[in-house]
This record gives sequence, C-alpha cells and structure tokens, in this order.
Amino acid sequence: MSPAPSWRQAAARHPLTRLILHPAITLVSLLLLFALVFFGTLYQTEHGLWEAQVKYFGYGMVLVGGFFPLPGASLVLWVLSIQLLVTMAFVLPLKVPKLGLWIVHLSIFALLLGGFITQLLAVESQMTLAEGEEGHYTTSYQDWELAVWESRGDSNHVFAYDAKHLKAGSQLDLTPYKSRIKVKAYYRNSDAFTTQATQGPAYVNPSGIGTIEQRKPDKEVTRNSPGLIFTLSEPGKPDKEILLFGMEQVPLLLTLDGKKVSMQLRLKHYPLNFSLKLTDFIKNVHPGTDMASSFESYAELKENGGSRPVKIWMNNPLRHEGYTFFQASFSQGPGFEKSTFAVVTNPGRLLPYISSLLVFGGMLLHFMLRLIPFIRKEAAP
Amino acid sequence: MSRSLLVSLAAALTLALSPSRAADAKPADSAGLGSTGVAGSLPPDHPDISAAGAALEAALGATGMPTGPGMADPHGGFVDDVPHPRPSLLPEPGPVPPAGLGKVGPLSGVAILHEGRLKPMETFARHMLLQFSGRTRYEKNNALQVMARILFTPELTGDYKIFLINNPEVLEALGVAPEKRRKYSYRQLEKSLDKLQELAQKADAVEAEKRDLVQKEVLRTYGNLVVYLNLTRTLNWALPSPNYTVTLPETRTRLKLPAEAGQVSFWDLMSRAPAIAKVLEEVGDRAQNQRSPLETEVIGLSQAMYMSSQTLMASSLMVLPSTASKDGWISPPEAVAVPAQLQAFHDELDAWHGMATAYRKGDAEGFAKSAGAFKAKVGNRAYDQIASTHFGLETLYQKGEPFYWSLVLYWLALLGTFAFFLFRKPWLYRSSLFIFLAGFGIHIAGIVARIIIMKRPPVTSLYETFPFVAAVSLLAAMVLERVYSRKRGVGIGLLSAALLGVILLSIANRYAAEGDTMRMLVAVLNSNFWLSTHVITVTIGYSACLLAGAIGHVYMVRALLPGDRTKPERLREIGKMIYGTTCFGLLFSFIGTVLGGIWADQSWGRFWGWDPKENGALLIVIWCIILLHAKQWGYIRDVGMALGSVFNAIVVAVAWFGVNLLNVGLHSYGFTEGAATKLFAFIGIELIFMLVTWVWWKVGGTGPGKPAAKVAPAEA
Repeated sequence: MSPAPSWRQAAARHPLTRLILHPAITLVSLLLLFALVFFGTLYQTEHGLWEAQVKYFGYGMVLVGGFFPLPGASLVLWVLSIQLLVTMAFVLPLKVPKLGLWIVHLSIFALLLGGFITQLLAVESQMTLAEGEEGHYTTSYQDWELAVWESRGDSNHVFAYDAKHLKAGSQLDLTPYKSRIKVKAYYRNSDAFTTQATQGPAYVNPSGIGTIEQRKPDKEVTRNSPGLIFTLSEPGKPDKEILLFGMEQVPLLLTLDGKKVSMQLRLKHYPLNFSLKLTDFIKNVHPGTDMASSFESYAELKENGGSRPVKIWMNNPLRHEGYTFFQASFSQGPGFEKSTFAVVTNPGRLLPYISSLLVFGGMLLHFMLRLIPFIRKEAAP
Repeated sequence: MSRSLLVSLAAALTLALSPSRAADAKPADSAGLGSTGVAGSLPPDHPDISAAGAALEAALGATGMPTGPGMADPHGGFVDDVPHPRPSLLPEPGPVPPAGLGKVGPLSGVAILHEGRLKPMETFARHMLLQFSGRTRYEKNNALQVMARILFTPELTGDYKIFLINNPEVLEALGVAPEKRRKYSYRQLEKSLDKLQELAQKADAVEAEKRDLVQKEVLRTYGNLVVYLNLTRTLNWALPSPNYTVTLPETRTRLKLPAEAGQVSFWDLMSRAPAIAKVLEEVGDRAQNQRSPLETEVIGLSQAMYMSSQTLMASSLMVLPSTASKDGWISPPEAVAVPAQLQAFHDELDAWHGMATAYRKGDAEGFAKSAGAFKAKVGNRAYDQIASTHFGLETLYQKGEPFYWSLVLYWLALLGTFAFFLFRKPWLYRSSLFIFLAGFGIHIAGIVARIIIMKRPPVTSLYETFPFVAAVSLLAAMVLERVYSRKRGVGIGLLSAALLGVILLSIANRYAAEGDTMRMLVAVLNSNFWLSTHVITVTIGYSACLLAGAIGHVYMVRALLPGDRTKPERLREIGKMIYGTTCFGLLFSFIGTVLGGIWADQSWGRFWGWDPKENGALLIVIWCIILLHAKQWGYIRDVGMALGSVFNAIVVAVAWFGVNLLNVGLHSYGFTEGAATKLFAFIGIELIFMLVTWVWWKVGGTGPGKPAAKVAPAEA
C-alpha cells in the first residue's frame, strides 16, 4: 500500500502546476533566450550596448530585424525563474541522488536573483583624478542632473534635479530661493552654437552659447551631451531665458533671492563619506614598445580625519564601505597625469560568486552520480 | 682599439667635422657629430604612418635627394635644378659582388628585443619573413639566411620576391603587373614607392575599423617595405660603400688601410679617426687649390662620414642592451650615432662589423667567431635578462614546427582510420592509433614548449586557443575511445579525434602565417591567475562541444550508411558518447563563462556586461541546456542529439571567433582578418549537412527511434 501523497505531490499534480511547468514552455523560453542573446549581440554592433540592453534585455517586446516580435530577455528570465521556483517547491524529489540537481537549480535561481538585484540596485560611476587631486564624489557615466548650489563657507549646499524629470513643460520649484524653473526644451543629445537665434529672446549662458540643436542620441550613450532651455521666474523680477549645455566647464552664476547661486547641467554626482587623493599614477610598458603592461594608481584614502595609503591596479580594485574602485583608464599629457576609476556599488555582488560555484559543484555531483554507475556498467565484462 | 683611444677618437672626430672645418660639406645650421641624434624614428612592424613616414623621409634624405621644396640640401652646392629620377633607396651592387655565406647558424641565438620580448634572432627572422611573405622560407633559403642577406648584403636582396600582395586592386593602383605567386621584389615596387606612400597616408587617415581590404593591404605593404628598407640600412655603417672609395695608395698607407681595399666602410674609417683628424689639422685653413690629392681625398672621406653620421636611423634590430635604462635595448645605428654609446658598445659594434666583413667574404669561421664574441659580450652585459630566456628551446620550437608535424600525422591517422572502417583490419586500427598518438605527443610538446618560453598559460591569443582546444578535445576523444573500444564503439573516438585535430591545427597553421604567435599581452590580460582559470575552462568547454559535434557527424553518417545487424546498438553507443560529452561541455562552458564574469567583476566592476564574447559563451551554455533538457523530456532522441551537437559546433565557432568579427567589445583584441567568409562557409556547410542527413534519415535511414531499427536487433 502506497502512503498517501504528501502536499508536495498533490501540488505537483495540480493542473496549474503542470501547466506552469510544461516542458514546452521551458524549451521555448530557452530557445527565445538563445535567439535574443544572438540577435541582441548583432544589434549591439550597430546601435551600441546601451540601446541593445534596453531593447533586447529588458521587459518589452522587441522587433527582431524590424518585423519579428520577441519578448524581452528579462521577461523570459522571469518565466524561467518562476518555473524554477515551482519545480523546486513541488516537483524536484527530496532524494539523495537528486542532490546535485537541487543544488544546480537552487543556485541558478540565486544567480538570476543576483542579476535582478544588480539590475535594480547597482550603481556604476567613475572618478577621474589628476595627481595631487582629491575626490569627494563620483560621477555618473550617462545620467545627468541640473545642479543648483550655493557656497557657504568651505562647503557647498547643492540641490540637484535628475534630468529624467526635465521635460518640455515641466516645472521645478527652487523653494529656498523663492523661484521657479519652467523647462522649455531638454535634448538628450545636442550641438551648441555661438550664433544667437534669429527669433525669440537671447539666452543667458555662461560660455557664450547662443543656440543648441537637437541631435540623435549617440550609439555610445556616454558620448551624448544634453542641452536644456528653461525660463527662470523670480517674483518681482523679469523672467530670464536660460540655456545650459552639457559640455560646459563653467557654471552659470546668478543672484536669486539675494543669494549668489551657481547652476550647471552636469553628469550626476554621487557624494562619498570619504575621499580619495591620487598621489601617483604609473603606466608600465613592455620594453621597447608603447604597449602597456600595467597601470597603477597610488592614492590616499581619507576618512574621519585619518588616512591610509592604497594601491589600485589592474585586476586589483580597492573595496571600501560597499564601494569598489577599479583602475579603468588614464590620460597623460605634458606635465599632468590623470587616472580614472570605475566605481561600483552593488549589494548583489557576491551572489554570482556563490551561486556559480554551487552550480559547478552541483553539476559535477550530478554528472558523477550518473557517470559512476554508467562506467561500472560499461566496464563490466 | 683601446678605450682611451676611443674617447680621443670621438673628440677628434667631433672637432674634425665641426662646422668651421667642413663648412663646404654641410648645412650651416647643423651641429657636430657629438650632438647628432638619430634621424627618423623606429619604423613599426605594424604600419603607423607617421613613424613609418618619418623613417622613409629620413631614408629619402639619406640618398641625397631633395625631398621637398625648400628643404635644406644635404649635399650643399651639388644640386642643380634638373629634376632627377629618385635614386634607389637600396645600395646598388658593386663591381665585385660579395661572396655571401650559407652557414649563418651562429646568428640564430643572438638576442633581440622585439615587440617587447627578448627573443632569439631565429624567431625574429621567421617573424619578419612571415610578415613580408607569409612563408618562413624563400626559395632555398631559410628565414635566418634571408635575414642575414638583408642585413649583410642588402644590395643583393632587391630582386628577392618576398613581398606578398594579395589584393590585385593594390597592384593596379601601384601600376605593378600581377605575378602568379602574388610575391614581388623590392625593385619591382620601388618605382611606385611615392604612389604607395600617398595611398598609405590616405588609408591611415581612415579610422582603423573602417578601413577596407584595399586600404589594409596598402598599409601592410607599405609597412613591410619601410621595415625592409630600415633593415637594409641597419648595418650601413659596417658595410663597404662607394661613398668611401679610396683611390690613392698614399691615402691607404697614411690611414693604414689594407692595400687591396677599394671601398671601405664607415666603421673602417671611424677606427682610423685620429689619423684622419691629423690630416685635417695639417690642412688647416689652406684654400682648396693648395691641398695635396691625399688631403683632398681625406677631406672628401670625412665629409662623407659626416653625411652618413647624419642619416643613422634607429632600426628594429635592437640587439644592444642599453646602459641608459634597465630593460631598454637599442639598435647598432643608434649606438654608432652617439659617442657615449659608441664608446660603451665598441666591442659589440666591432663584432657586428666583423660578422659583416666575414659574411661578405664567405668566411664561415670568421663569421662564427665574431658572432660568438658578440653573444659572449651581450651575455655578460645583460646576464639577468638572458638568463631568464629559453633561446635553445625557442629555436628548437621554431625550427621544429611541432604543430605542423602533428597536423601531418593527424592526416595520416585520419586516412588510416577511414581505411580501418572500410576494411576492418586490426593492423590498420593499431597503426592509425600509433600514428595519432605520436602526433599527439608532438602536439603536447609544442604546447608545453610555449608555456615554458612565454611563462604564461597557453591560451592568451586567438591563435593559441586552436592548438589548446585541439589538445583538450583530442584527449577527451581518446578517453572516449578507451571507454568504448572494449565494446562496439571501436574507432569512433579515434576518428573524431583525428578529424578535429586536422581541422583545428589547419586553422592554427593558417593563423600562424599572420606573424609572431608569441606576442606580449595587453595590461588587462597580464594576469596569470584569471587567464589560466577563465580561458582554460572556457576553452575546455569549447573542446567538449566541438568533440560532441564531431561525434554527431560520425553518428549521422553511420546512421545512413548501410550497416550490419549490430548497427542500432553501435549507434546507441555513439549516442551515449554525444550525451556524455555535451554534459561535460556544459559543465566547463558554464564555469568558464562564470569565471570570465568574476574576472570582469574584478577588473571592471561588473559581472556581466553583454559583451559579444560573453554572449557567445552564454549561447553555448544555453544551447547545451536546451539539448540536455529536450533529450531528458523526450522531445528529441539520439538523432536529435546528434544533429543538435552538430549545430553546437556552429555555436562554438560563432562564439569562439565569430564574435571577434563583430569588432566591438572588450574582447576585440583577437580580431581576425578575412575569416568571415570562411566562417560563413563553415556554417553553410554544416547547416546543409544537418538538413541533408536529417531528410535522408527520415526517408530511409536506420537507427534507434526508427521502426526499421526495432526489427534488426531482434536476434540480439
């Protein structure tokens, strides 16, 4: 007499479970993933990584070759994740010979989860320092902000508006200065000209830019230079028409509500609780060539009044307070050397490490558990 | 010549050739020999037009031709307004041709710094000839012999057809008649040098990724010619030259030159500088018509020496360990140009002069003696650097061409295994296996030699992955052979192994023809730990999937051939091999991909960046997962697995070097020239194979899953 089915077995036999776990769904999802990765890679060569990621590896539908619709990779991965969860919850037998499979499926789920956390929470930015320079913040690669700040003693008080909120017609209140900004135009990518527009008002601009023109966003998203035109209203004063351009080095200086205020359209800043001072940058080359054999940055990490020397070089990042600083790039010129660090915070960073080790271990275990009896059988006379 | 004498020599020459003494010989704004720099810059092996152009300009200047309007005229006063045809940049053969020498072996182990690595002259010579001609021999000469010719008797190499030009459009643009073997001599191309330079400048202005085939070929040809010309000039200072023709016996006596000497070299005169300086001093301020013939001849010689000293160019023959920096090496002309270096390297330079003289006389003994003296001197001076090299092994590797010979043996083994399947004679199987194993031994020895020579894992470039992947998949195939040969699968593993060995090593040998396969690494790859773990595991994954693909081919062919009654069982055995190998492939592709992610996370801060190469590896993983699950759930059977693993071979090819053709992403260091057509051909052939065998099998084949198969084994 067989024992009564457990709740797991009952759930496993439920029609809904069977539908969710239909092997055809898994196979089709995997085939879709295969196609998406393949076509996404091809698409990337034409349109750049950023667009390819948004299009092929996001959630929406993508038209491959402009006509063939496929769901985005994130969507497909969710379908597979749900299948994995349901399989583990109800179907996968709780038996020792299946231990390898358990580990594999569990850790693949962890891997996908890690990817999801990274997608959601990881922040990538950079910091470029000249020798002797000290950095207190990192800068985004591609996200822009409209920053408004006021110097008080030796610190700046900054208000920053994410460029995502800058759209023609949108309004921002500069409450501390009793003023208001009304956006007339915001371009993700633009060109600037010194000539004044023939029609309309002359714009206020710190670098002598007269007009900007919209451009198609670049394949490399970091090459975009946005442009912003807005009206600044302050009670009791005439409105100002202001133009700001992403590539400008100097901020616009204004007096608002009797205070001296600076304004700039800049790559988003992320402030740090500590600072990094670059003391020396060294590029080593293979003898007799220009080919670099290594890049090394020597820096001082300053925090709470104390400091310690750190070395950041290829494949050897600095990890501190959840931030990781990587040696990413450099520039050299007569009399100066600059080092650029890629800076990443990612709460899900360790998940891929753990899960992939487990997947490997699980696969090895599973294949061994199957291989050993097989070899015994084969070897038998 | 003693040291102290040398010091006085340099000083004397500087004085002797200073502007007030040789005012009629040189432009007024030039400085004396003491401050002479090195004209031009080092011509790169890979065309960098600005540097190459400078080198060529310097070479043009050296012929005494005005290279542009308003240029200071190096011959001062000798130029008329009549336009000259450009004289050859190569020395013309003299009245008495040099004897030359075949035995240049002693040159083989001379250390040279090239592309950031200290290597034996043997490697350098092969690399250069490969770069010029795509071959490691020219007619009956090996690469070292050709290199010796170029260095020591450059005037005799003008007619050597060593420059490979593949593209007929380039020839048309240059106005050169196409040759059957697509190889051209310097003299053939020299007439079009101006045109070539113009085209190269245009091509160089185009971004590297956007250059078309013609532009690439123009730049390659131009770069090769510049490098060649530069090499022909490397030892100018040591070779007899018509510029230094001594006609008067009394001059010979006065300068203690050998009585029979007509043409002498810069070095011959340099070592007699005090005597020359003495003559110049005696001349004093006397007017031209008051000088004796001897004095006039010596002044002429000193003027010629001054001119030569102005045109000494750095060369890629960096054989002198520089005293200036720890691991910088310089070429002989650079040392000759600077008195301090000349003094420091006197013995080495004298040895090169000795080699040149002996070579031109055909004196093998003298050549070996000078080469030996040079090596001993450098060996002492750069003891640490030389001690860490493996020149003996490297020379053996270069001369032995292990991957070529293993390819030959794999071919033999493949043919033998075919014969075995046809005639079923055990001796055929045994001898094929033996031949295969011999080839495999040589193959492994080649990989081990590379690890020792380069001191790094054997998978740092696209080229290196071919022998490595071949080795791993062949090893796996041999394990399969061992497991299955007891049963009904005898020969399947061997056949797959020989097939893969032939294919992969053929590709490797094609790649080797593109130049040096032992290059230095860019900074991010310069990390042995990640390199060894990530690349090795991922290539093991490639190997297994390719092996599964190879067995897939065998399965499909066996399924269609008319067979004996045990055929379905045999097929089932092959099916098991495919399944097991795919599992193995998934395991290693997955872990290799993930390790790549970890490396990327360590280096750039992101685990996954959708880089084409990463995506390629992911495609393999996904495809393996699809195959294994489809088999597990009964969507496909053995034939499906076989066809699926043939497709897996396509996926591997695309991931392995197809993505390099996309030329984007962090992995584009392994960019492959002109491989796209071959890749598409491969994909096309494999797809046709899959389609044809599948349809055929559907129509009439046998095997597990077919009704016919179920009848056949009834007896068993």
